[in-house]
Amino acid sequence: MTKTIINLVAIATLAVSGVTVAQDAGEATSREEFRGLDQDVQNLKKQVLDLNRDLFLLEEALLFPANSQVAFFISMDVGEYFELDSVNIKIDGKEVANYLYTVREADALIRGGVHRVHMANLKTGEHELIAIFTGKGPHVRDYRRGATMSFNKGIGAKYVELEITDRVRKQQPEFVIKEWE
Amino acid sequence: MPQGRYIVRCLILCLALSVMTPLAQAAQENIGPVTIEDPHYGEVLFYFYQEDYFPAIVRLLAAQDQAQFDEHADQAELLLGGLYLSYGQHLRAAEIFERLLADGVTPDVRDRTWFFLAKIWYQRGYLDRSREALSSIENELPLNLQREALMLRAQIAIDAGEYDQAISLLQNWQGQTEWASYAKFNIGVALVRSGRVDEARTLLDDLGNLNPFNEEMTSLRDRANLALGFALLQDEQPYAAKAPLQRVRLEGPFSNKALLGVGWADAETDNYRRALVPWMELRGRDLLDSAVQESMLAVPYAMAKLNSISQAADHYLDAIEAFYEESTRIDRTIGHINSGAMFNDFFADDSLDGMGWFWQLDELPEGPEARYLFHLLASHEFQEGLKNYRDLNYLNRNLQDWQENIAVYGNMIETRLEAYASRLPYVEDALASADLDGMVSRKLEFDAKLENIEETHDWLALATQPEFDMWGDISDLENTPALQASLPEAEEARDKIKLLKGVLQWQLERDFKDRLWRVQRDLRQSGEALVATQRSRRKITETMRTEPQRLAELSARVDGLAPRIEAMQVQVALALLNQRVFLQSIAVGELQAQKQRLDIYTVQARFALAAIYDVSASFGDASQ
Amino acid sequence: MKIKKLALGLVLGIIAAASLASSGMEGKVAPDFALRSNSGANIRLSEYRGDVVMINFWATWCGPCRQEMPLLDELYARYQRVGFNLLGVNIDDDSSRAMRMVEELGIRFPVLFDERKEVSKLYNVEAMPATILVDRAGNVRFVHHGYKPGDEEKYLDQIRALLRE
Repeated sequence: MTKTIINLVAIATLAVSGVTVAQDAGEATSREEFRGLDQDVQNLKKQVLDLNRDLFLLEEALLFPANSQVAFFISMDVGEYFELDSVNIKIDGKEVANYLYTVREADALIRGGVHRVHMANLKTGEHELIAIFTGKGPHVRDYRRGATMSFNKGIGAKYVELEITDRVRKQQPEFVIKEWE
Repeated sequence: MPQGRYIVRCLILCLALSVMTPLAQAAQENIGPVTIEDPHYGEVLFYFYQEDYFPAIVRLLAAQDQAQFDEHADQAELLLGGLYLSYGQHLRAAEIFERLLADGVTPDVRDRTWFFLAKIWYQRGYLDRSREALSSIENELPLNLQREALMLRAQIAIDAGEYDQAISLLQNWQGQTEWASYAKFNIGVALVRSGRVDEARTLLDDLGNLNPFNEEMTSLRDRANLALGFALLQDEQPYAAKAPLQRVRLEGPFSNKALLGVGWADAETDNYRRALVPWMELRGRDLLDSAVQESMLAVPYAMAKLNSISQAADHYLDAIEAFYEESTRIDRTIGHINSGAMFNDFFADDSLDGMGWFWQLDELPEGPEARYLFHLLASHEFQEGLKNYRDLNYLNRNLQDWQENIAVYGNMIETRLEAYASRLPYVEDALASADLDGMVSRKLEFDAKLENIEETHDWLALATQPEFDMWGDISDLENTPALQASLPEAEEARDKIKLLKGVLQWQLERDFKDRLWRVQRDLRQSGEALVATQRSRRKITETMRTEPQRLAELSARVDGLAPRIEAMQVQVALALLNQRVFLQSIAVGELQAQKQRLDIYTVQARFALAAIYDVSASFGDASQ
Repeated sequence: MKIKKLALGLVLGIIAAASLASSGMEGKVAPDFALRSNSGANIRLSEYRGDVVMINFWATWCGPCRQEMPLLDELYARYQRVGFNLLGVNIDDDSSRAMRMVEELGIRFPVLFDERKEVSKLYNVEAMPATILVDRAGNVRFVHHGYKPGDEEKYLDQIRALLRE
């Protein structure tokens, strides 16, 4: 929730600066236009808020998070075919997950499925994550990549999505990590 | 059970089917008709071993009627023959056995058939044919029949006067079984009757000295000694006669005759004083016994020989009086018998449950005629007659039971018809309302849909309702225009939605195989239930067609039986009456025979008395 | 040498003694697992729902396992077409030894490698070989510890019964 509030402020700032830029850019935008735009933005924000509320309810329904928990997800977004073989996760030096993916499971990921690979009860504070995945690419048989990150566990539940993607570098899938609270 | 869109409809189908089946079953309930079911060989034997020949025969006949003994046909026939024999139906038994022999049966069956035939021939008096039958037996019979066969051979020899043959047959007999002893006794008596006293003597002496192990053997020993004693007396060997006679038990049933005989033995050797001892003892006993009656004359006879004339005369007078009183009593008894009261006593406490050839009346009930008819018990004719009477009584009761049952069965059938008629509309409604054909086509639709789902790996199709709704919600959210805004919040939201959708998708994909299998199984089971229900429906419609007719047929059979039962009851009642009259006449005959004996003795007494009076008269004349 | 023999004796003793023990799993849901297989693919138990699965735990140092496996292979060949699956789970520390034995015996059913012994612990395996039969709904129905000649008849009966469900 904290992030949302910060972002709202940011939006306001942006909105203001957007207007400022427009004014600086040339003819002043009319008041009506501004009000309309502002209104749109406000409406949008509201909608997004509503969206968030709906999402939150969905989360509760789907994911049942407990406040002390951190949930780790594996998802995929690859252009070239990549067959995932296994995922290994260490938190604070201890191995917490070593999941072997069957062909069917790997295909499900490719089709858009998201696998909750691990749930951890963690104390608030900093933690270290090391994640490694292996698989078979079109050219390379034993492909292996890893990622490290530190994350902070706050008071509420937390989600960490480990996305295997070759968006950044073609034919070279790697982990992209997203976090939510 | 998950309740996705498709699955819900499948469930309804299943439920409908499960409701259908009990209805079908209810309407199908079958009544067993009034026939005997499945009388195993064993069941027949069960009755046979309890000596319930009548029900055993009935069951066997019923089973043969329903062709239930394909493999055991011969054995069954043999059993039936044996049963008829035991039940006293010689002719029927003979027919069956002769038919079996003509049919060509296994050697085992054949031998036994010959044996039974031999028994029948013997009982009808055809000794030669009996012998022939016995010699036709090739292999060894079972042990118990073997003994019987040997006895039969010996008995035939005795009856034919071939005593030596009989003796040698029995000599091979090991051990002192009762049968052997009885046979020996018969031989001995026969030898005596044909004058071969010395030969008889060895046999009877053996028997007379045997160590008995039960009451029957003790009784046989007495009889042997008695027979020997009297044989020797007749053969004018009074000295020799005494020994065996004295071996007879004093408290046994033959002691009276023995005492008489001992007296005669002494009398024959002119030892009248000694003769008086047993005779006086005898004189004091029950006058019913002919030996006692004879002793009443023997005593004065001896006294006369000892010159105690007046005492002799007194005794003769006593005798005459006693005989007269006894005769009167017999008359009264004859009257009692002719009134029919005797039979009521005979069968008052007889259970009349067992039947057959081997039953015997062991004790006479109390009553005035009891003492006189003691002899009758030993008489073959009387026992036979009694058996027939008992059998007829049983038949009578049997018919009465059937008459009652017939009424009940008739009632049952009527009730059945009513029940059927009242249930019929209910069943018809149920059949009409259950759209079986619709269900079948829906099931086939499901099959096709499911196949499609499997082929296309359509994991969403097998989602539960909540899951499906959630998917819809997420999809709607995905399409919100707001989501496309280039705001970081919107981007975050887009990512979040993608995550959530992905998580749901993963779950659905993971559960797909399991759910697919379950639905396939349930569908298969529904299919099986449908097939069963269709089968039931066919059966029901069939039954609806045939049931009234079947019940009508049963009803007709029941109606046909009732007059037959009545007619038979009349016949049996008549036979019972005839049998009763017959038995009464035997009894009366016996009594009259006794009366005659008394008359003879009375006459003898009078003669003797007259002789004494003459003598004293002539003495008296002479002394004057 | 002596120590080796002693160890072997101990092992055999344990095997013999423990063959009478039951694991208490009958009637419960078979715990799910995924392991690497000798074909290179990963194999997960729950993906076999709807089929009958026999899980056979074995090791190269287990004599009766060697006896049993060709017979199991025959079962697999015969009934695989009608919904029967056999998963051989090998618990050797060195999977290459297991592979050699599989080739030697000409085994056709999939062999999974449980080097870390996680799955055998999951299934309370105390003696070798251990054979678990799982029904179509995913429940453990029969558990066998040890092998003696003639057991394959029992397996056959049980498999056929479960296939009929």
